[in-house]
Amino acid sequence: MLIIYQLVDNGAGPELHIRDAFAGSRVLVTGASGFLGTALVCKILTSLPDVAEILLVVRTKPGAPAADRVQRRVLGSNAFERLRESSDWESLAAKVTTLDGDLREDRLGLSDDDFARLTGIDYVIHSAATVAFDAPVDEAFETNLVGPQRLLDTLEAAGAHPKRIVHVSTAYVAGLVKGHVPEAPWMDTPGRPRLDWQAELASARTTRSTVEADSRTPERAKEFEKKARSEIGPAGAPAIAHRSEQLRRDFVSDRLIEMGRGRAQSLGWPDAYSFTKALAEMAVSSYRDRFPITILRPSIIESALREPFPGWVRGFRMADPIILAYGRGALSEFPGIPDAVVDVVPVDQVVNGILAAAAVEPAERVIHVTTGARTPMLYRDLVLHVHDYFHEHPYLDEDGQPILPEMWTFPGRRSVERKLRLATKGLNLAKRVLDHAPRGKFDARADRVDELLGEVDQADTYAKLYGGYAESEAVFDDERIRVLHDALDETEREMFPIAESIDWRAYLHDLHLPEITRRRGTVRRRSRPSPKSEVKTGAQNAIAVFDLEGTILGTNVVDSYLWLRLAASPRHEWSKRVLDLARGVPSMLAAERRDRGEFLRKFYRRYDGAPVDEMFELGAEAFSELILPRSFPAGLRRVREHRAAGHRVVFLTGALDFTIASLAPLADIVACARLRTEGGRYTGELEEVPYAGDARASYLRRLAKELGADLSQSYAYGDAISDLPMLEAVGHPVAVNPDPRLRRIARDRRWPMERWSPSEGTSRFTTPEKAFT
Amino acid sequence: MTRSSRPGLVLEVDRRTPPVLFHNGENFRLERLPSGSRIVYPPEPLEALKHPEDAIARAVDNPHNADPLRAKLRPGMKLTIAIDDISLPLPQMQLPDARQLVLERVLTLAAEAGVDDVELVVANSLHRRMTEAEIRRMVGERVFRSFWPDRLRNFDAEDPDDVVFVGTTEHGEEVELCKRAFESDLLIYVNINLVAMDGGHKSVPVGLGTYRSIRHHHNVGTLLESKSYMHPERSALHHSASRMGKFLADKLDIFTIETTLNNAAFPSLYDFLSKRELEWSLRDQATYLAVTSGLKRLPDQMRHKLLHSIASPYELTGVNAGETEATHAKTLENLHRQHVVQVEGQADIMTCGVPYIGPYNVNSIMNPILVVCMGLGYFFNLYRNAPLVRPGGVLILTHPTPRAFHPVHHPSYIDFFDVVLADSTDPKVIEQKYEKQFAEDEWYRHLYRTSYAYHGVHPFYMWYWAAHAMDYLGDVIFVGGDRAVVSRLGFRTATTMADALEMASETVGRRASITHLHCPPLFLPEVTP
Repeated sequence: MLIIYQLVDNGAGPELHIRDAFAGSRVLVTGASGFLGTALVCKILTSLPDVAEILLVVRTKPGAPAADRVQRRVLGSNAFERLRESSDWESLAAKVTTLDGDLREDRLGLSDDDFARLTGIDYVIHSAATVAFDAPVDEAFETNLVGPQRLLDTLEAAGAHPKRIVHVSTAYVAGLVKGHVPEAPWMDTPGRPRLDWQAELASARTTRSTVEADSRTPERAKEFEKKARSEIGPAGAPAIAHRSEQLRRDFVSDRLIEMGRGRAQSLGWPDAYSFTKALAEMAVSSYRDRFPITILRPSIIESALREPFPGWVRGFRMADPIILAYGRGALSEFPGIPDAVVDVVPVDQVVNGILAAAAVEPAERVIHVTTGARTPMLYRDLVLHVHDYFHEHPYLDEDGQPILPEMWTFPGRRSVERKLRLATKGLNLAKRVLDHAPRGKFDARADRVDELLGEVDQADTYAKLYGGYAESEAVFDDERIRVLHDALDETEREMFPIAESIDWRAYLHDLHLPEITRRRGTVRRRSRPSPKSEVKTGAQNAIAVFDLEGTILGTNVVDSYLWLRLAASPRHEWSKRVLDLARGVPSMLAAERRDRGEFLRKFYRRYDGAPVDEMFELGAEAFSELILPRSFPAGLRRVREHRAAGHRVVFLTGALDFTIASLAPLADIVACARLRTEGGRYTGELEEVPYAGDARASYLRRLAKELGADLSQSYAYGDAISDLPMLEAVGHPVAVNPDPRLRRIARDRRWPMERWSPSEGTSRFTTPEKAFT
Repeated sequence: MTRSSRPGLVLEVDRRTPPVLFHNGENFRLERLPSGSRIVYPPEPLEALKHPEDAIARAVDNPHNADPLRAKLRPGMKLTIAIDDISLPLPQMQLPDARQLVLERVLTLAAEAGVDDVELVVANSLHRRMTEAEIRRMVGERVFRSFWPDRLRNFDAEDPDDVVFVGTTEHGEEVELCKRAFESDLLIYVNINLVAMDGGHKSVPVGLGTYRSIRHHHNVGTLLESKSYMHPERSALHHSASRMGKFLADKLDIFTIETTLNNAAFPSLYDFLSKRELEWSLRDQATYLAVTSGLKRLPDQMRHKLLHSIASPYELTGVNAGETEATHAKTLENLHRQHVVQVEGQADIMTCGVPYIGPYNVNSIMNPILVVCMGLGYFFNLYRNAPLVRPGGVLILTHPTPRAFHPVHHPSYIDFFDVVLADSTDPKVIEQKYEKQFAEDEWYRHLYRTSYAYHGVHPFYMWYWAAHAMDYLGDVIFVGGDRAVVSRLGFRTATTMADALEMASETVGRRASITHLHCPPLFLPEVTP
């Protein structure tokens, strides 16, 4: 092994005494509410009882003041379970001081008092960072690069002279390199491009405004609107606007992530995280003349080996979402090089490494806290261990059957990506086809396609996020941590183990995997049955609003029109009438898909010239011959249940008054379409805007106000995407026989769904019994 | 036309006996019954009246215990003619309908007498309104054109303007009646008497009565005491109806015209339905095969339409008119002449096929509740003296019991099935807990009055019809039934007749005796226990 940097013989040897070094000292910690920070604070309180004070710089979040967050996230964490039970917990906890501060502000936003407390600081451990690999580029720069500079500037301004500052970085600042990575500033590696971190920062800071501006160009605006329209078009303008804006925001955030990743990858880093951490090392190094700074580079930090307790982990760490997705059978293949080393390090080793690195004299410049060189785990082995674990402890699907994931075959990144692309293409095609399939019959298949799309999308995200790490062929030197290990005496080696060998299979099977799968349960599919709807009695001032056609009636405006038209025509003209209607179908369908109101307006022109009296008479006959036979008995019953429960029943429909007049006794209020009349005949023009899309929601709100009704206690039943605003307006929305677009939304929001159908033994369409002869 | 009419027959099954026909909803099946089983066949159709129009004229001119109709008619009088609805006869009869013939004669007399104020009312009671086409078919084109729609109409038992409270019988039964009928100088009731249950005092108080009235005899208590409905003297239902009828006859001039039909229920194409299987010709066997396999292959809608278009070649065997009781006595005599078959002894197991049609699904769907009413209400009760099956015996019915309902005709049945039966199948519990709610439901009332729905309370009555059988029998098994539906109804399902007999042995033992009621055509076993 080539060791480029020899450890300076500083005589530390057996004289590295961590406890002595920290005795009576004041320690400043950033990032204490994070995974590593919490473990660190816990270890200090457990093993360094002579520390005088631990100051935690923690930021106040909305609704969670800094002190509360310390109590909850840090001291209240399960890492402290054992400590909390000890008799001197009170005195230990009293050593912890919270400084309400934010690394994104100058002087950390500290109060004068808190600022003053920095003066006598002995140790500073900076572990705050945004570890999200997919943080927007500006945030990644702000936290990871500017954060440590602000900290150092603030310390300088406060006149602090700490004995040591440990800057927690990451081993992956080395970027996408192969082979050994030395414990040295990465900038010194030959062949690295010269980077100006200030220029990078300046550029990142303008990115957001550039992207925001781009997202507001008319071309983009049109794109978002078009997409929103195709998703929920008939729901009306406000809903489309809302969705467009949502799409725009998603675009901005995706773009910012892409910008970060793109720049990073072009310079040889897998993502913005490692890139900004690398720049941070550059920036921090420039303070070395003023502060004794040690850069500590852990690799992938995972569950604790021993402390606070074996297997302790917080949240899902980097590899965990992939592991869980694999266990659920949702990730059939993943990029990665089977013989590459996956460098995972237990959190307690990192904590001990930090403490040792802080205590050692003189300061080391860079220390790796990694395992790949000492006790490597190959990617192939990791996958095998995980595979075996899920075969021994499988997730169960909804039917109680174990899910046994297949072993990955490591086909390489390109092949995986191609597969994902193809799958996405195929599924999107299937989705488009199913969107036009008849309702009911294909629901299960449509759900499955959505589910698969979700899985593929996630796999794609994971591959983008983590693929680089799974393909890293770097091996990180860890010479120095071994020297530090040797420098400790027997007691402290026991107390602060930093260079242990690890049995990875045991580590995964006994510690890590049980912990991250602890809250398992059955793997529920997105297509799991939606909740059942029910009528709650007792709600005062509740409205129950029903869409009619498609919701409680199997007929639609076209059926009704055709029936009435036939009833008013001699029998020999029937085929002509049907043909007339059929000719208009394509354009009507298109209009319907765009906008329900537009469709109704267009369609109702057909009633031009129809005599009013005759229409009402025929309407009454159509009720018994067409509408009632195609009604949904369960729907009618539900209407009546609402009335029995004392709710005010409202029919809200785009259907014409004379086609539904006979249903009126079921409802307290009927809001429907009416045609203008002239001399006892209809003109084919609507009297007012038809109740479709957002017109329904606004009608409902106005009505609720008039009636003094409480919409949050109210119910709405609808079947189409155009009913979305109406459904969103109430506390108990129910999607009845939803169309694919509404179904998707109802499923995601866990709205109750009902499948109501006409009574068995009734036909789809009946011709009028009494024809004009 | 002369026809030799053989009486009914009780046939003992032996090795030579071919499989026996079972009605099975909208199809038929042949089942081989164990040796020693008995099959009760209906008598063959009686010879019909040669000149029905003349017979009608004679009957109204020579009424029983009343003045001739001609003498009752006078100018300026208010005359109402009530007609049985199309729940009778079954299947609907080939034209001309008996009602048309009677009406034409009566209306001719009224016209001759100068009666202007004539109104024809279909006595549909709590049944659905008849459609225009149905009424047209029933009364004939001439009558229809002259009276529809203003002077020929359905009775509306929920129309406060057309209902009058008449009073209370000595038993405390409230009598409420069609106002027009009650306020008429003469009420003529035109009846078709298909079974012994119908006619007599049951015509006016029930046919033109309201829920308030009818609930006094259409209830679980009364029906449990009616053994059987086909034996009026032993029927609490008929006792109550008679009290109401007599009560009305004191206040209102009622002239009853009753017709009886032979039992030529099926047209010649379907001869195999009326014939004994031993006597099936090759043609009958071929027709059976063609019909059953054809029906199996037809789409539901078409099969339904085809079966409901069957019109039976029923013919008049008698017409009687006059005072209700005297007339009805003659009617029953006539009816028994056609219907009665003597059967010795009760069986442990009774089998019967439930056909595609019953009184309440003409041009409609035989829903599961109507299936129960047919099997346990009508066929079980189709006896004089004693049931065909012994107390605690088993009734085996064949019907596929699909979960199909006519949403226009039977809306309250759907809720009855989904809500009431899901709660309880016990008629007493159901009556006490749900009847009033359904009977007074505004939506059902709306549908009864303006659409073509049976009254909200009607499914309850169907269930009550079966109360006696449910009380009496040890088990009821549906062969070929929809498992979920039959279980909701509170009964058991078997895939084959053999399985059903196996299941029945749990109740009645292995050496059980079996009697098969070969019906329809309708007839009336007179059973000596």
